[in-house]
Amino acid sequence: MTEEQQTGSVESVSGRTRPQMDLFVGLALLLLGVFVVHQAFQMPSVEHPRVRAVYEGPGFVPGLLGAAIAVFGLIVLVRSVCEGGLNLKGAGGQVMDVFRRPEPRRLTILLLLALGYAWGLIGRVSFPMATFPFVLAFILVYDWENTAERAQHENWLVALGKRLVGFQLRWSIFRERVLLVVTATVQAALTAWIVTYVFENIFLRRLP
Amino acid sequence: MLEGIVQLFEGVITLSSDGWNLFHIAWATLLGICVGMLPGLTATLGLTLMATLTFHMPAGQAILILIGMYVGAIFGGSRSAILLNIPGTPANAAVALDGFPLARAGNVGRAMGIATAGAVFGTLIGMLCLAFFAPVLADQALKFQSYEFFWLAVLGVVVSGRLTASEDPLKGWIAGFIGLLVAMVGQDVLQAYPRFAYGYGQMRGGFDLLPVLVGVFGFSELLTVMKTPVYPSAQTTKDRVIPKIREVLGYWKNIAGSGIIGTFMGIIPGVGEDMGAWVSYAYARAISKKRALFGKGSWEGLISSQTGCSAAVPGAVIPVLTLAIPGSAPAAVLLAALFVHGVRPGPLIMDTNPGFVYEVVAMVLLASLAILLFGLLLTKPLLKVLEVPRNRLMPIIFVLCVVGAYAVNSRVFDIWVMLGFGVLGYFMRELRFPMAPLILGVVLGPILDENLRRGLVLADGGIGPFLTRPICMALWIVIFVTFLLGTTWFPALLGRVRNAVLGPPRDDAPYSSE
Repeated sequence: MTEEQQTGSVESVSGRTRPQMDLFVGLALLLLGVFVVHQAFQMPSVEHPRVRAVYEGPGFVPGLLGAAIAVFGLIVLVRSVCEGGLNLKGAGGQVMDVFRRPEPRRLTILLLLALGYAWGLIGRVSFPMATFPFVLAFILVYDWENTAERAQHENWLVALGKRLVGFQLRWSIFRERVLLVVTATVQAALTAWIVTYVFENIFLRRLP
Repeated sequence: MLEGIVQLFEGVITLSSDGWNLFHIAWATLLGICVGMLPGLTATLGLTLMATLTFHMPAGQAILILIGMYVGAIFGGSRSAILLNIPGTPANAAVALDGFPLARAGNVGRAMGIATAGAVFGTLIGMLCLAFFAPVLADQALKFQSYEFFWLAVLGVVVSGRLTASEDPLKGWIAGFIGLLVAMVGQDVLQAYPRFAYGYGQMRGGFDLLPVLVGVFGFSELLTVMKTPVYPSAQTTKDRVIPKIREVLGYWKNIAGSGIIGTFMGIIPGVGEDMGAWVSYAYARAISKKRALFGKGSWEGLISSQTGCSAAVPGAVIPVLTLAIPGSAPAAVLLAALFVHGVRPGPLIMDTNPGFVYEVVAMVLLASLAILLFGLLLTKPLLKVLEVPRNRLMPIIFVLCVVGAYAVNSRVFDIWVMLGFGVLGYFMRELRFPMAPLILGVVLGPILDENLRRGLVLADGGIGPFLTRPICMALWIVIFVTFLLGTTWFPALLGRVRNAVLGPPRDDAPYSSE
C-alpha cells in the first residue's frame, strides 16, 4: 500500500488509474479471457471416452474463468470509454514522460541485473561466482550516484583536507568512490560465500 | 473445553521446556520485527523467504519460526509507521495515521510503548479466539461437502477482492480471477489432463505456490522499492517507552473491541491484517469522545489500529488450520509451509492431529511474549535497523529470492517462475491491482476446480445442492451482496432508499464533535 501510493505514473487524481490506461488493461483482459475460453474448448470434452459430461472435462473451470475475465475486461473497457478513455490525445506524450523520469531507468537497470544474474549466470557458473558479480554490480550501480552527495558531508578528515590542500570536493568524491568499491567488493564476496556455505553445509540444500 | 485447556497448557509447557524452541522463537520474532520495520520488506516476503529457508527443519520447529516471523513482522511495521510515517508493512498503514503525529509531537517513546501494548493484547485476544474457535470451526467444517467448499473458495476471492481494493473492487476481483486462472495451469485433478502446458514438461506439474509467492511478494516488491526515492531518516526517542499499566488499561474498550474485530477480519479468507487495522480504527473513532483528534494524534486510534492488525494474525491462522483456506497473504505462505512439512490442515485436523492446533496457540503465545520483551527493551537498538542502506540490503534479498525459489524443488524452472510472477506482480501493482486476491486465487484455484466439478458429478449435473443447502445459501447470498456493494449503482440506490425512509442525514454529525 505504501509504495503503491507513492507511485504516480498511471494514476489519476482520484487514486484510480487513468481511463486511457484502463482502455489498454480492459482490452488486454478481454483478449486474455477470449484466448482462455478458446483454449478451454480445445481440451478433451464429451467426445473423450473418460469424460461423460461437459463439467467433467478439464476445460470446464478454465472456460468459466476465461469467460469471467473477458466479462471483467469488457466492463473495464466500457467504463474507460465512458470516462473518456478513447481521448488518446496527449497519451503518447504521457507515456514518453514516464520513460523520461528516473524511476523507469532505475527499474530497467534492476531488471537487466536480475535477468543477467538469474538467466545469464545461474546454472552456467558456480553459485558464488554468479552471486559475487551480481551483488557487486548492484551496489555500484545504485550507490555510485550517492557518493557525490555523501562527499558533501563535512567530517574532521574532509575539513582537515580542505584546510591543508585547499580543494575538498573532488578528493572527497574520489575517496567515497574508492570506499564504495572496497566495501561493495567485501559485501559481495561475503554474501556469495555465506549464502553458499549456509545452504550447502547447514541447510544441506543443493544450489543452482 | 476442559480437554482443550489441558492440551493448551501441555503445548505451552512442552514448547517452553525446550531451550531450542525458545531460542528459535526469539530470533525469528526479532528478525520478523526487523523485516517488518524496513519499508519494502513485508511480512509476506519475510515469511516466504523463511519458509524456503526452514524447508529442511522438523515441522514443529519450522512452523514455530514462521509464527514468530509473522507476529514479529506485523508488529515491527508499526515502528516505521510511527517514526517515518511509512508503514513497514501495508498492515500498519492505519497505525501511521495517529502514530506519526504523536511521535512528531515529542511522544516517540510513549507511542511505541502504547503500540507495543496494543500488539501484545491484540495477539493474545486473537490467540484466545484461535484456541476456542478453531476446534468449533473444524467441527462445523466436518459437515462441509464439495458444494460448501466451492462457495468458500468463491467467497475468499470475492470478499478479498472487494476489501483489498476499496477504491476499485473490480480490480480486486480481476486479480483474484487471474490467480484462479494461474492455478489452472498443470494437470487437473479428475482427468490428469495437462492444462496450458503446451508440451512443456515442467508446466505439466503447474506452478508451485512458493516460487509464485517469492515472485509476487519478493521480486515485485524489490522492483517497487528500488524505483522509489530513499526514505527519510527516523526520529529518535528521548521519552519513556514502557507504558504505565493503568494508562494501557484505560483503553480496555478499544483493546477488547479491536481485538475481536481484528480476529474476525483475520478469519475472513484473504482479508487479513490491514483490514483488521482499518476496521478497528473506524470502530475506535465511532466510540471515541475525542473524534477530532483522529488523524492528528489520537492515542485511541493508535492502540486500536495496532491491536486490530495484530489480532488478525492468529485470526488468519484459524481458517488455515480448520479449512486449509488462508485468512491473509502471509497466512497463505503458512499454509504452503504446512503442506511442505506434511501437516494436513483442514476439517479433520482435530481428529487426526488435535494437539497441533494447541501447539500453534502456544507458539503464538510465545511470540507475543517475545514482541513484548523486544518491543519495550530493545527500542533504541532496533532503531538502527532503519539505518541499514537499502542499496546494500536489496541485492541480498534478491539472492535469497533466487535461492528460495530454487530450494523448494531444486528446479531452475522455479527461478524463471519467480522472475515471471515478479514482473507480472510489479505491473499489476502499478495498475493498482491488489496482490492478496491474486495469491488467494492461486491457493483456492484447485479447491474451486475440484469441488465444483465433484459437486456437479455428485448432483448429476444439477446446481440445486449448490443453492439450497443452508450453508451454501448463506455463502452465495454473502457473495452476491458483496458483488452488489462493489458496484456504483447499488450503494447509491441504498442511500436513496434510506433517505426516502429516514430523511436526509445530518451534516457529518458523528465526526464533528470533540
